[in-house]
Amino acid sequence: MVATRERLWEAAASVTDPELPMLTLADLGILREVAVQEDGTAAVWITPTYSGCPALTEMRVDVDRAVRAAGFDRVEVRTALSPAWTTDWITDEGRRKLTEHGISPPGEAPRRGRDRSRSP
Amino acid sequence: MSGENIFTGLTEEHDGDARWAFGTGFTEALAGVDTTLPAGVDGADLAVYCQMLGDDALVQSQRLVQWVTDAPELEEEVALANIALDLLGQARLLLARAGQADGSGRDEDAFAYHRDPEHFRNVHLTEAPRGDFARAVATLLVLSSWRLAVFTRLADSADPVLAAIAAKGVNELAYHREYVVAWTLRLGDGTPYSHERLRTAVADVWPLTGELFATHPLEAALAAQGVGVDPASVRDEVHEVVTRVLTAATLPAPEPFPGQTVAGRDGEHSAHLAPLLEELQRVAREHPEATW
Repeated sequence: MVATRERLWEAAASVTDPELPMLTLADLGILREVAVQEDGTAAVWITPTYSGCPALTEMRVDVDRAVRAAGFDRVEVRTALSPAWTTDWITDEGRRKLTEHGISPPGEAPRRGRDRSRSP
Repeated sequence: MSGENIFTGLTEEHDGDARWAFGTGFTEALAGVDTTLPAGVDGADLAVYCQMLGDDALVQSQRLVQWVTDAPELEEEVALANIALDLLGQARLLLARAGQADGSGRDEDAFAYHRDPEHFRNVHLTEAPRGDFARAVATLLVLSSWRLAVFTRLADSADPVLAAIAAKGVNELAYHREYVVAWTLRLGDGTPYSHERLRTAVADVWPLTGELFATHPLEAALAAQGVGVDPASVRDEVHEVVTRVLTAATLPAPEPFPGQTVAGRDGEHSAHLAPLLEELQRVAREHPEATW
């Protein structure tokens, strides 16, 4: 079962961002969680970078296709709204790739109001 | 690729859905979110409340879109379009939540495209004519300060979906306010001409600000349940913020927000809303069978 979950994560994590194709959804911290349910359904949670993100639909389709290609017949791509994404969710690997492509990785995101951003 | 029709050939190389994201069933803004209503929360009231907050965002977003191709500089055009897109995103989530909470199963499009003006619950400030750039700055200064104060509190809402939508919105609204504060300072403390234009804009906007703080009975009820925010409770905080910004911009300290009664929240609108919605809703109503 653990191996299956890993296979699911790897499939979902291989999907690249539509606008920054050198980064994967895992690098960007958009891929939040995966789970293989008892009935075999592959569940994948992704989070929008901002509320109106028009690329989210495309990402859902891409994840769905990648997970199916990895051998899962039943796939559910779900939205995770909380905790809200900030640039702090970009992984070290994501930051390395941004630098490599001439984009300065963002610094620490400001803590605002009662925003429940990821704890360090 | 078939040679006879290059367009068909190109299309066939992709599996339609993946390329265009049409007809994928992935259109719901809240797909896969646990939408269970917490015990003790009145779903019908929550739905109306989500429409109030969602309609403010949807209508202001549509107003801001009027700057696209018409802003003073490309940089500002992109910024205003981004603010409009953030608000549209907030509206989508809130209206999707409304359709779940009232049990009607209506989706965000049903709310956005198939309600008439008297069923919209936005405040008049959001539907007022676009005006000049100074007017956009004055409007957004008050509106983003108000919305940021409300959403910051809503991040602790007893409805976890509303709380998550608000927590996400806080980051966006903080940027909106940062953007208009910078322009308030630049215009107010700029040339005598820019100062005067902004002073006029603030004076024009001011009579519309009081409605934001008029408590609707439904807001009072939801605030008592820990679900919503009584807008009267943010009046002092928002006034303090706006006063600080305007004063720093060398503009006169503003009057208190005028005392006003609920209007837009009850579907009573100015004549400016109907033409705005006509433009927003036209395609969807002419082609009700269309999907995108």
